Amino acid sequence: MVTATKKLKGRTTMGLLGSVIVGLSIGCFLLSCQPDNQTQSAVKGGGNTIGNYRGIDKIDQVLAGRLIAKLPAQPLSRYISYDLKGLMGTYTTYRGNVVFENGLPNQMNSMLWDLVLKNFSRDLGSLCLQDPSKRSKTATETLKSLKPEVIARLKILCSWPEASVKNETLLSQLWLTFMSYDAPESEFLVWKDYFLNEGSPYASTGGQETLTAMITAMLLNPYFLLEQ
Amino acid sequence: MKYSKNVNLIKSLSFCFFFLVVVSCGPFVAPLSKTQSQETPWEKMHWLEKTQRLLLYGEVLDEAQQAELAATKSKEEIVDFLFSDSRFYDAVLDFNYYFLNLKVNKVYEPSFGGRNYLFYRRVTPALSAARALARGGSYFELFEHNQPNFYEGNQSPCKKQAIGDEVGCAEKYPEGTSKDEVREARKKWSTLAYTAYLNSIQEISSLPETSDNSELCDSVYKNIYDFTTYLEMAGFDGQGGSPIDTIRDQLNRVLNLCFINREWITKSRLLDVLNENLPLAEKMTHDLLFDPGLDKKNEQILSELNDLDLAKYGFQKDGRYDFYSFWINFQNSSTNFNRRRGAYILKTYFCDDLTPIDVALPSDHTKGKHGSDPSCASCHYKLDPMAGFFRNHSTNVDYTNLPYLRFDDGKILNQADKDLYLSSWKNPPGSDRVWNVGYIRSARDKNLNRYGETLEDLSNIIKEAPEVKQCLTKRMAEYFLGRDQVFDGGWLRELSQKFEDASKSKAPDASSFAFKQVAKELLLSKTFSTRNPDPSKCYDFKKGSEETAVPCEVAFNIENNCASCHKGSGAAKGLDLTNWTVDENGKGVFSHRDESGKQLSAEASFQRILESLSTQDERKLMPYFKSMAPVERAQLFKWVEGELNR
Repeated sequence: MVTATKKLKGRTTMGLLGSVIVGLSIGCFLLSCQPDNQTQSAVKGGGNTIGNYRGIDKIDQVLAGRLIAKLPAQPLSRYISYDLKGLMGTYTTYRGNVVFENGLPNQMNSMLWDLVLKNFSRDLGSLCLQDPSKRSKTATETLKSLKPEVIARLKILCSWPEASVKNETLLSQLWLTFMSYDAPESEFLVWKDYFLNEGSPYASTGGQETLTAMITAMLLNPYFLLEQ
Repeated sequence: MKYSKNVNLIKSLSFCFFFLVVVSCGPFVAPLSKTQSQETPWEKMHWLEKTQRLLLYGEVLDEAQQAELAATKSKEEIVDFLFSDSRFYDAVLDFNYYFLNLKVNKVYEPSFGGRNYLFYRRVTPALSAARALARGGSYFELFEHNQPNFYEGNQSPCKKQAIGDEVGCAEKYPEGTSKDEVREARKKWSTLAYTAYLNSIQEISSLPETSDNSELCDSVYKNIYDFTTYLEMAGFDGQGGSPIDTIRDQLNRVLNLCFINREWITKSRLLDVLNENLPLAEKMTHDLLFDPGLDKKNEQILSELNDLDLAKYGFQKDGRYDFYSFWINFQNSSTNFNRRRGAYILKTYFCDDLTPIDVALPSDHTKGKHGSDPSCASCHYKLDPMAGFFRNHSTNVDYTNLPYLRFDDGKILNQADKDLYLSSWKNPPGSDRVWNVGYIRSARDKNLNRYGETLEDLSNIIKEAPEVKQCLTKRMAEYFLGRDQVFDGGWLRELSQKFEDASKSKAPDASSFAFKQVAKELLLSKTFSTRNPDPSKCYDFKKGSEETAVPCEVAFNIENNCASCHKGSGAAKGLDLTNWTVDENGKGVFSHRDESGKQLSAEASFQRILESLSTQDERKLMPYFKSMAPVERAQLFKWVEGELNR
């Protein structure tokens, strides 16, 4: 994800391409978001195998365990209505058989995951706001539910781009807080370098924006979102 | 262009990138880790994380515990350690649902409010097996037909069976409910019971009498069912002779009319029965609150009702997450004749998804019966005898000793019609068995089949059949390692042998021990340790054997069923099923010579193999005049078909 984002930096033509892709995504929605069949065989394309999303409940559970102080909790439930959860990978009954539905990535569920996780990241990033009253109600509730150590790890990065917080240890702690060891170390290294390099687009941006971007990049990582 | 200007661009594109990465690139984001002889600390932590998530039902230990485990214990010791955590039984429960084809998003519901707990008490082998595993009992409770009822509060696998019984799960579910809590729970359920009873009177009073009185019947059924269920939850054991039975008996007489002929129901008759019994209902709920004798009698249930996990094991309103749901989901009808039920059993317990494959059947096999059409018979020869176990059962009633039978779709058979219906499972007079009901392994050799008559017989077949243990192992492999992953059949067979051995052991917890052994082997496997394993590749093999050139998915199957004839230079019909080559396009083919000794094309070869696996001509059906397990035939058939269509 970070790699892909980085590659596209400065390519203005990508704006047009992006619009086209979004258009195609929405256009294809009706064709592709039909329920997956029961077996959900892995789709093979171009030699790569595509995994299923882990599903909204599983991701919710993972995030709750890593971030939330009081369990059980469903941290993402504030960001998606109950009815739409079914589009993000859930077990459901189909003709008497239980099937994992909408697990295979398609335009619709990818858009929902994108929206939910970006909003969640944005709210976590709002911890850096000087004036708490400017936080949204959802952000306030989400932040209130976090473990104290998670708050501490996030808060310290609000000082970004101060030199004192631009170090591998802090970023490593943040990564492990959200990702644990879900992704290979190489993923962490790419992510870390992206933010720590002198030429990083986030070299001089504020803490809130950078923190949001860091969390977004982690949560949208396929190693986090997809079944392995 | 400065980055600050690019931020919006990147933001706007990130969804597209994300989608592209997920959909098009999948695991390419970072180079795949190969299975390494020396594991890095990062990868060991990854293994630990994955293992915890599986064994602790999505949860993990705290960071300090994880670090200590990683530093001081071997993987095997870590797995043993995690087995001792009470959350492991949540994971077992989740797997049991998966096995029973009743997988749920959550085995327990975090929130209590607004849910209907009535269906908690339904029979559920999933819960029994998880509980047995926790308490040193037999995991094969999973296959048991006769199950205990579960109340809301006693559904935790780790809950004490009775006050004073020690089990190994107290840590997560602390004991010691106060008297106040017990009374509060009793009050809640007895109030709900009485409310349900009053509701029934109110509702029926407001409903109109109609031609079929369906609304009246549904209302009384629902409310009285709620009433009796709540009472049982609160303490009435419902054994014969108790006041609850008096009311229930009266109402059942009325309700039976609903089943047979709703026109005979009158609103006034229903109200009379309900009002006559109102004082009794009131007394019962009152007694529940204040009778000290009842207090003692129901101590166990009441304490369990106050389990701290009162809300934990949440089942949804439709009750589909327990075995009762089997009857709800798979109803019989005057057209399906229990075949949906038969299909569920074959698929769930025997991993037989009824792939339609032609096999040579004895001429008398389906004579005069539904499914006698040759193409239909390819499934029905095994489906119908399995459906026969359910021939007397609607969702709610066992009609074995009744002079009629009512299907769930409402059609009623009188005695003569019922006899005709049942005759489709009857063998001709003079046969060695009355019923052609059972698990059919072979249409040719009846000695391989297991026959029975009742649901108890079916339960015994499920408990004893090696195919069920193989299916259980396969499902465990899917659950622990991935649904789309292929596995070496020899490896799976070796693992399932642990269950087979356990079934012969006299130790009560042998099957539970076997479950843990198999789980451990799966978690210590190469497949599990490999990041992003290739779903089409096997990583683990039977001890002492190695990967062969033949695709691992079917190698064991071929070795067992085909290789005795189709091996080496003198292979029958020029087909050597142990010699597999792959061309430059990645397309594989067996060594398969035509009559002139020329290698057949992949397409021609697979076409011939497919025809040999699926034909009604007994002389052409492979293996030649030998039996092949239906599941194995289906697996090979589907694989060949897949290769043919590549």
